[in-house]
Amino acid sequence: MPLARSIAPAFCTDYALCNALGTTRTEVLSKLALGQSGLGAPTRFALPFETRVGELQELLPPLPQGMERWESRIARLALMLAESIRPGIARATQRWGADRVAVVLGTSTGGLLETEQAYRSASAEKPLPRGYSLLNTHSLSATAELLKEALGLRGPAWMVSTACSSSAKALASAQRLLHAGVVDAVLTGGVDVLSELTLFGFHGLGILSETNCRPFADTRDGTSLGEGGALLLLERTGDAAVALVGSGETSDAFHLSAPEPEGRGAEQAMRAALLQAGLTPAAIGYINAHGTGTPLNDAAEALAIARVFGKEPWVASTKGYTGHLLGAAGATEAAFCVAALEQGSTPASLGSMPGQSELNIRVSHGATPFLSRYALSNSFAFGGSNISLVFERVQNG
Amino acid sequence: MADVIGQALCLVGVGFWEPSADASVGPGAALLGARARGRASLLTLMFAEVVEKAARSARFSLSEVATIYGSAFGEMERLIQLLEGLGAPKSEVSPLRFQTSVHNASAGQLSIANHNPRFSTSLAAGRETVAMGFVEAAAWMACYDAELLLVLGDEGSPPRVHSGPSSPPLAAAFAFSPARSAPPEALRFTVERSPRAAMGLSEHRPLDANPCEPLRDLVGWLGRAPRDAFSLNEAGPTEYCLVPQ
Repeated sequence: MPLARSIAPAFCTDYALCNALGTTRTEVLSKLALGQSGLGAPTRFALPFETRVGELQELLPPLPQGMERWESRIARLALMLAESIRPGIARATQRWGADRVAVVLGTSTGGLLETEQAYRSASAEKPLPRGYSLLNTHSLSATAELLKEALGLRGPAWMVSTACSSSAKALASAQRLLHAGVVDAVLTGGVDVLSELTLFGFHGLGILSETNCRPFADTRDGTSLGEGGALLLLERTGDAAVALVGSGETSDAFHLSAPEPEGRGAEQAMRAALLQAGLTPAAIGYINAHGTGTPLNDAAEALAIARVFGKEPWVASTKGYTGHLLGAAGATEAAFCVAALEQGSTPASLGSMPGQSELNIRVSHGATPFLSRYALSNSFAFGGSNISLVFERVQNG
Repeated sequence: MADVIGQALCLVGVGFWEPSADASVGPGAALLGARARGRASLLTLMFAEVVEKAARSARFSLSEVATIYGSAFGEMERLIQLLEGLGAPKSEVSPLRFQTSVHNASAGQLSIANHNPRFSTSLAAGRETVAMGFVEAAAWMACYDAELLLVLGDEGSPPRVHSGPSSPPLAAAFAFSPARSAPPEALRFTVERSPRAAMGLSEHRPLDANPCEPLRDLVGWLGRAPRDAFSLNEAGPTEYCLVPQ
């Protein structure tokens, strides 16, 4: 059995979102509610194959003076997200002390985009581009270090990097820090940006759709990649509508990039998360599925969901809106769960129409009200990494 | 005033690897089958080697132990190979290399080799990777109090994307037992943090050593049945230490 001791709730006192749907939380959530997809043809990459991507639509502001050593697209994205919830972070810092606020984020690619450019331009005779640094530009942890310095935080800081489960696992790690009393607040979440290597890599694996991804539809034929991020401020106590109340983490121990076909690892992750939250499956009203849109992933996840929950909870994948945000997917979808609990309504699972799915789960085809106080979010990844998070609608922590 | 992180850790096994004088001899990595070993990166080979050593001395079952991996740069050797392929005329990216380029590729390969479905995570924290690995381990043990392997290491400075001096690879694994079942001879220590009185070396200096370099001295310190504290990070406003109990 996976480990599932009870854990103290982590109260979500603020959160920020940015992806192909928009650059602010309000913009992103309003388009999610309207069922508008942010996917489109790639504009930043000349690709010799057809695919659709969720690119950020606006220019990201450059890093301020004194922070230039971290300059990269992912750093700009992370700082823009942090700036949008700076008042909340400042309040938490004042309340708990800068030493008691940690930064734990997730990413899969870090500064890979700039490393691709640096690698192309450098040679034995030609030095690396001015400003490029393996430590501050490429390194996965550079973004966490940037946020720590920019926000004046002094608690522990690291990046979780477990491919597509990275930022969901960052949230679980943040909850452990709170439960263990290491800190009183954690700025957590995840960021990832598109790069050529990522697009070519997923294409090489044969798992990119040529059209918008269609999670859980019988016609699904692959995923669509995207870029973006989400930051969540989790605190020991605080003025919050939603809390993270449990997580379950397992390994498939099966294959590096393909899911175990029966979804056993995913099932154990969901059961462990429920156990840690002290809930039965019937308590969950909404599941934000990993739902990448590949035939194998969705089939395995649906089998696992059906075994744990039957057909009761509403299930939606939000990758048809944003694309698969890789290391940022887990945090983004956790934020979507927070929003769903705040609003009491699920988003529609874009790409799947009523009567189009033979999978034995209850897919949400439109914005659907639900009464339950609990939602669950799944994230699965290369390396057979599985995590499920459980969120609860609460009255101020 | 030092701040104790989580609970005391009970160390019951250690594994360490760095190149010998004969640099052509790599990590044995017997945990991986011959085929997997032939395809594995240096980082994965090092991790397989130290995991096996630490688990053997701790008498842990590798199919049931939780694992935390930490590496500042992860699969750099694999990434450089992919970047070379990306520059080729047809811009082909090997699926095998791509799926083993993610930071948790070692974790995935070792969970498969050991048939281990348990918790596993992979983190990166630049120069503080060793310190943050111990912080995550202490917090995890405070929550679950179960057998845990903390596995840390880096391949060394990658060519072409790093302009500083090269540094050798190294890796270490630490096996922690739950307090309730730890043998009397287990080395018990806490992870503690305190504001650094003197700032020490600048945090912003160029990368001139393997970020996991503290592992060599740490393993030596553990072998001496220490009574003094060991500093896990040499710079930054907060010092993280291991303090024997």
